[in-house]
Amino acid sequence: MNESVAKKSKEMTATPEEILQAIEALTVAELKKLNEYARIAVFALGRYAGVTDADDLLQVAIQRVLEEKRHWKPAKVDFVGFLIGSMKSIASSWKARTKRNPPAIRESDLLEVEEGAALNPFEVAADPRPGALKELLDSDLPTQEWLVQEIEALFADDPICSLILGAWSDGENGPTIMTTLELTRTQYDTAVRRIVRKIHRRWPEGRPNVT
Amino acid sequence: MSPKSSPQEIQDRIFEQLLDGIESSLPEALAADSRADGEDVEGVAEKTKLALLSGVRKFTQKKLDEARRNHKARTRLLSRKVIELPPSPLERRTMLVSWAQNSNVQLTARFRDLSSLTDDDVTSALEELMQLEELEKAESKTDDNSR
Repeated sequence: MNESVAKKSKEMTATPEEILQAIEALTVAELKKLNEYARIAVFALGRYAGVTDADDLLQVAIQRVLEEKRHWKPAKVDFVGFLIGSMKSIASSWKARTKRNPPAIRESDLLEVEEGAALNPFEVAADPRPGALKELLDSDLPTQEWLVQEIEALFADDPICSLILGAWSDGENGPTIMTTLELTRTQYDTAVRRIVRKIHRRWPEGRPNVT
Repeated sequence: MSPKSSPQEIQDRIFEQLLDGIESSLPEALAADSRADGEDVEGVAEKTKLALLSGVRKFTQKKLDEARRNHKARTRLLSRKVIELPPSPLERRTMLVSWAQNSNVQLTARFRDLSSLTDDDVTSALEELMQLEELEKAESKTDDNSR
């Protein structure tokens, strides 16, 4: 990028004061939308979440903007869209990082035996993996499959939502579904919002722990 | 459920589409639906704004803490520095005169007539000047490191 383009790009980037003003200027509806997005994003992250709730994700998103890890150019994107983009990016990097660094078995957890000593069969039989007790307790937790079935069951009496969920599960996206089911944009969006609200009502405290 | 997809994959797809749906929804439509459901939308909005402002406060606090740490580091550096002055009062006075002649800094009234300064004044002035020089060097080093 040459100097004049870089300078122009920098000039178009919002200052911290402009970002603060933008927050103050958000309408009730826009704030609600940001909250809705953050709640579902944290729900979706589940065990990948580096934060506990929607407010935490929003705080991290705005800090990233202020730390200039993400540059807001008001002429190009509205503030709500920009913050949603920031949350999307954060969620994606958390998920990728957790997938790259799964928990490992440490050498210190392995059984140590003195040379020549008789082995205690109970000790040998013991599970040396770290958190064996945790795993046992986790086995009482519902599974991912259960969660999917619970979500689907919420819409047993709602054919449109049920069909949309089924199509999503099969990897189809909004435009394709609208065409297939002959839905208008408004009908599709209304159904999506219905799905969101039912999930919130079913799990008001957020995603349940699943294995 | 597709037999080829894991529950995790299915969940990922569902939530990806849900998030896309929220992103493309009009804020007013989302708010209207939530109000119709009996949700306190104004309360949620207020809480969300507080969360964003809290993020701004944390950022500001982080900057302040960083500035305090840098200041402390500079102060420690200064306190460790041993100020070495010439041994005799005459040498110290000569040093101060030389500095005043070569420096661009405007002296306060007290120091403009250097001949009227006591030996102790000369010593104090030289110590302060040397500390200030070290401070400037340290600040210059900190600025270089932070770039």
